Amino acid sequence: MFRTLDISASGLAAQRLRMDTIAGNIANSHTTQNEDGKVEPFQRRLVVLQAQPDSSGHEGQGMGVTAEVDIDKKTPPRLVHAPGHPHADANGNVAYPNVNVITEFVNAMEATRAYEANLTAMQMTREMIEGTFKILG
Amino acid sequence: MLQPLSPQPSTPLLKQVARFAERRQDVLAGNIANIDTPGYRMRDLPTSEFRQALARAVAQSKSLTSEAERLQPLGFPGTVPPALDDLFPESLFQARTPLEQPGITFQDGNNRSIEHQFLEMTKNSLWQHFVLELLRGQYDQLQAVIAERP
Repeated sequence: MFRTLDISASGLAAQRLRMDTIAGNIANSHTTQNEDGKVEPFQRRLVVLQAQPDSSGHEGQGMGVTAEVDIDKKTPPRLVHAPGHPHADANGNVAYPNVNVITEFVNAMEATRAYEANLTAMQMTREMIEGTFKILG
Repeated sequence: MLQPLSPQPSTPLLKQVARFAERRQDVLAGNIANIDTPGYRMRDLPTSEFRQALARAVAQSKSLTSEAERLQPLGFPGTVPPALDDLFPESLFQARTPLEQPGITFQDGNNRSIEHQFLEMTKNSLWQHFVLELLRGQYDQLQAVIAERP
């Protein structure tokens, strides 16, 4: 029964990691140089989720979830014509990060709701555990 | 330890139901945790098979009880517990991906339906609560008999 709480907790952790990366993407939506000071637009981070079977090898039980941060290298950077920008190329274009703030906000909403769903599941499990304890009087 | 002391013939059955509800909560929580996992299919325990097994166990328990009463008029009916391991095999407690599921498969291959999951979770939780109350009543009864006062 307590393992059920672990499963919900893995969901909470995964959704929180998603919120972390989304916040980072939005914060860096106009970043045009990397951490070494070189001219390179920030690349959008995203979270890859994967179902995780029980570590004890019990096939056929509830599955937790694992999350890993990955970098979106497929979406091209956004080119904006701004010849006065210090990071503009020979044609006067500045490469801005491949972050679409609207997409990020939609994902943020989804992550928030999924986080709440896991919290509710946890609450219900808690009530069940409390019910079990009550048998003892 | 308490098996021979089971206050009612239904006590071992109630235990199986409580165990099933606990396992199912585990699986449903896993579905919620994987609500955004691409390719994940919602899983569940075989509820209808479990109900059939429960109905069979109740019928068997009834016939055993009446037989015990016939043979031993003063016997304690609970002393003849039905062989539950055969009626409730481990496969009833294994999660599977049901063939027919509500909801649609999304582009990421996940067939999430959060409403269905929470509905099932609520039903499961109420069911478990009901069974635990019954069990609690039975143990209170046993306690009253031991203490010789209500």
